[in-house]
Amino acid sequence: MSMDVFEEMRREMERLRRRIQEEIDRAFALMTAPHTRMWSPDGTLQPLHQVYAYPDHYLILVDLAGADTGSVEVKATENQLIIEARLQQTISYSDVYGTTYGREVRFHSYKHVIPLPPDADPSNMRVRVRPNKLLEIVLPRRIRVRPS
Amino acid sequence: MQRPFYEEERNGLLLVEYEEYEPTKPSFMVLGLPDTGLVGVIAANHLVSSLGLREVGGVDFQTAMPPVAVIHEGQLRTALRLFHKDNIVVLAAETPIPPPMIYPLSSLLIDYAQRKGIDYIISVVGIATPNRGELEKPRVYWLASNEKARKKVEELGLDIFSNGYLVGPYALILKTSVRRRTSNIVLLADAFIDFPDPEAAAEVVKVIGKLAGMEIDVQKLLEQAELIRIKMRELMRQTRQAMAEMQRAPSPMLYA
Repeated sequence: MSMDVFEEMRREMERLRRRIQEEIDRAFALMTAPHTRMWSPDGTLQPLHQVYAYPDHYLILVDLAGADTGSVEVKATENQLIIEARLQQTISYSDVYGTTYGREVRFHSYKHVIPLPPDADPSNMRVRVRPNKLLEIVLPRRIRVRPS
Repeated sequence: MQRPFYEEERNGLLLVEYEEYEPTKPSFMVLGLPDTGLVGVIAANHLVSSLGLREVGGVDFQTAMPPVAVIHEGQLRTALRLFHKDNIVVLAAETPIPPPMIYPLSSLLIDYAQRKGIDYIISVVGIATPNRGELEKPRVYWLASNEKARKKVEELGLDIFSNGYLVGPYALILKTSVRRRTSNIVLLADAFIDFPDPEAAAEVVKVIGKLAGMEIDVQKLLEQAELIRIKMRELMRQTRQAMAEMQRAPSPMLYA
């Protein structure tokens, strides 16, 4: 009986912890995102990505539409992933943004740096490119979270 | 710059028309608003370019949005752009809908559709499908606000969307349509949750073609799918933020 109470408390704490984390992530995303551009004048585009948390691993998907999949490089440090890929063909700024200016800026590759959650283990990373050019990166978690 | 032919201000929204137009019957108004996978926006843009629709008006947000002006071919345009040809009217969004504007916008769009004598409002929705990557072809489901809409869509033999959530403008447009007895057909396609999904949009465009009794070629849309995904990155990112603000409903991607 008492075990049930503690188990319930643990789950409630875990639920709260997750909710707080989500709120912080959301606030952080709102604060930073509008100020960061998704392209750089050096000819690189920033791809979209999303991190999904599972009890024993993280799944990171990166949209590499238009990339030459043979050129994809994923490097991991202790706390971040560096993703680079060449585009199959160069694309002009005006093609991407539908404007009449910026024709001289041409994009030739993707580059993105993704901060890793603290318990992600990059030493056992698995990487594959799905047929639709979604890059899939799987990183085990050092601390296993029990699903509630 | 050209002054609109007609203007209507209501609750922080501005509806404009650049010219008078009258859709032929039976008329369809396709809504391409940003949500999951940007399915609606991509489908709407494809209808505009493949059917050669003409820009006839739009809706702008006078408040609750950063001070931005959309310029197209030297003319001032609105955040939501209205296009028309024959019996098709298309609303295509350039930006996410600011959450406080969703309520007045839903009501404004339904009033406008009624005033224009639109027979069917078609909402193009993406549904967050966790295994979308494993599906060879995204499926399209339907919902109908009334008997007239149900009869129209049922004959296509698609599955009904029986359980789940709608979040955002399309949810309110459906609710308001039921109350106002407007025919709203909601077409929902399996879509990537966080990435633009032109393949899902192509499936919906095919269904719209069948509803409207016309052939709409999606070959170009599929050929340009990767370029569309590149172009739509920023709108997708902004849409995710706007949806995170509205979406307190449980997400299937949370492992809880």
